[in-house]
Amino acid sequence: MNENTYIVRKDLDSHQLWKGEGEPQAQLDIELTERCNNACIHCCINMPAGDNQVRSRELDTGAWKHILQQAAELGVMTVRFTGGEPLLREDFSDLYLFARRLGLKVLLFTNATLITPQIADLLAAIPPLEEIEISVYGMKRESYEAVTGIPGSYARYSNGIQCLLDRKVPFVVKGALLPPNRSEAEAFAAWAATNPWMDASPSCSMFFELRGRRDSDAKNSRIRSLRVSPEEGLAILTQQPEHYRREMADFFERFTSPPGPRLFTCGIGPGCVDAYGVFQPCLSLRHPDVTFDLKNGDLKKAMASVYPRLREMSATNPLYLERCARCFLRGLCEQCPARSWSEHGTLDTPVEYFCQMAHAQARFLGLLKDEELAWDVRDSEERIDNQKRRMTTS
Amino acid sequence: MSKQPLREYQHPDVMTNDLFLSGEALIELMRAVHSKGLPFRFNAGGHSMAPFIRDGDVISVSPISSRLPDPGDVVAFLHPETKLLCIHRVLSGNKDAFLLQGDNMLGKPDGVIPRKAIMGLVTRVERRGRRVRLGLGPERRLIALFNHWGLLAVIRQHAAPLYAYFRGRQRP
Amino acid sequence: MKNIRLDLIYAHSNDVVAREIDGALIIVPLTSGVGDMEDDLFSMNETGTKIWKMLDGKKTVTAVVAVLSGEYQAESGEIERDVIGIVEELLKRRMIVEATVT
Repeated sequence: MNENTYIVRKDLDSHQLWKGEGEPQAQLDIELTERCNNACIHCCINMPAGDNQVRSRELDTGAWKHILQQAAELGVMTVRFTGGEPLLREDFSDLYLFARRLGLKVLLFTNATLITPQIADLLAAIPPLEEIEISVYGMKRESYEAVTGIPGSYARYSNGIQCLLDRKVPFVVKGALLPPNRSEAEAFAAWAATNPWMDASPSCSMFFELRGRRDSDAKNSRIRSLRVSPEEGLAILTQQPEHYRREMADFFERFTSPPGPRLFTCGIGPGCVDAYGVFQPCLSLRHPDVTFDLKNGDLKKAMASVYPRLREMSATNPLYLERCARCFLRGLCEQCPARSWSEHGTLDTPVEYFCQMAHAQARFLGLLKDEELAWDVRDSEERIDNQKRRMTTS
Repeated sequence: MSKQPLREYQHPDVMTNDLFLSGEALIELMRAVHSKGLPFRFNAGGHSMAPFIRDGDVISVSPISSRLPDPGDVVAFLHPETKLLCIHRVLSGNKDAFLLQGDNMLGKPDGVIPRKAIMGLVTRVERRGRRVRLGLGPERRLIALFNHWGLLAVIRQHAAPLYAYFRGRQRP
Repeated sequence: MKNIRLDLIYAHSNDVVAREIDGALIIVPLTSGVGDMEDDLFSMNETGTKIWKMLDGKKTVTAVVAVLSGEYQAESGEIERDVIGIVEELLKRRMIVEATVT
């Protein structure tokens, strides 16, 4: 113990806080609405802001407060407010304050277009305790609005950012690599570097997810066309080839064998409550077999009903069993049940796009010959060792 | 009224740090995933590895291979006293035991941790869905070295005066 | 450092929220300015938690010391020193306030 100090900085890793009852949940995702005041070309969820039919199905304030209350009782530390655009909710400030008064931290994902001086004042006076995350679609009006499709959105977004900066409300920015803003990558990184809360270069999405509700073939076609091709994705990842090789050599060395038939190898979570009160194992996974409507039980029951079942779940699709289950690239690949859902409406269908992306990387690293398929490889450990040896001697 | 025996007194303290919600379920799950040869991904908690791993990051812990962890590697280990899962960096070690320390715990290493308590290697860190690269690559050995010399905090302090201003932490 | 008078009554401040997560007390800042870093959280050991709970706007510092002394084996003056020390720290961090007499 300390002699005269009563405030101790301790590593709480060495203090047991969770005694193992129920499901330990550090974070709960909350989709306040699927509606958004932008209409971004690559978005996997957006519904029109003014769609009253959609709006009428959303949970009301009381229902959300009840869920937040349950989350706090379950020991959740952080709730992520996302959507759609969460600030579209008229009760946003009410729900935000309610969450914070429960002692929850709030991680806010927003496009910043609806951040008014009043909201910024609230965020400054009652800090969210997590950095706000803001997506940036372009560095100027033309490029920004070519993505969002909404005239005036750039000016609103700029004002929103300024409101936060003026009050020193912490936020970070992230980009989305799209044709209208492709030439601005450097300018974006340079501007992001001036942000005092960013301690690394900004992340940029480019392998866009398909529609989470599987509600539009036309939109899915467009999203597919906006995704970087495996060749281009590889080019971006390997912009500094030697750095990439060294990093990947270490990364691959950690792998021992392919995953087998077990489906959920991701640790599952954070759990998510969608805009209509359905609990999902994660934000992107909406397959009806693995979700739980909170009309049928509370949050605790939902988690108890979903998580243990998913941990035991095995793939049944013969294609998955032939390919993903036997593939040593599995840890590198973006394949997962949530992606299988949005791409195919199933839990265990190999997604060709990710397969190509993983194979492209493996070929670049010399782990696969040109026509080879990774799931047919039986000597992956040897190849990885050889590659590591090549790295250290070169 | 009969007097109850007095209990052993423990000085009060207030701990400022973040939480690491871990549990037997998590460790069991990780073991199960590792037995399949797969990396185990989960939400990390706590500030002891800041700024490299931050509260809420999704980290991937890969099963420990025959290769021993090197100085600079970030490992998941079972804390010998509490049996909780901790994630810290290797400062040094031999085939039997390792000296571990959190990046944010300068001057306070975990002590000597036996080899069998090391459960895996952190091979990937994701923040809000994107990979974070700092600290797993070649610079990780520098971080371990700096920690040994206690320099990391000094560098952080002097590298970003603007940062401190914006966070409202200017000292008088 | 403010002098803590033993006859004063303290109460939890409205600037923090106290939560019990699985038996442990966690104190979460509500307004800005609590803690050194914007995302500091606080938790207490058993003694600290007991003291926190007794700073309920009704008990004087003396009363808190008395309750602890009746429950724990400690050297003379040790408990009083600790309670005063903790109250000072909690006050400094705006986690407790002087309770106004109604």
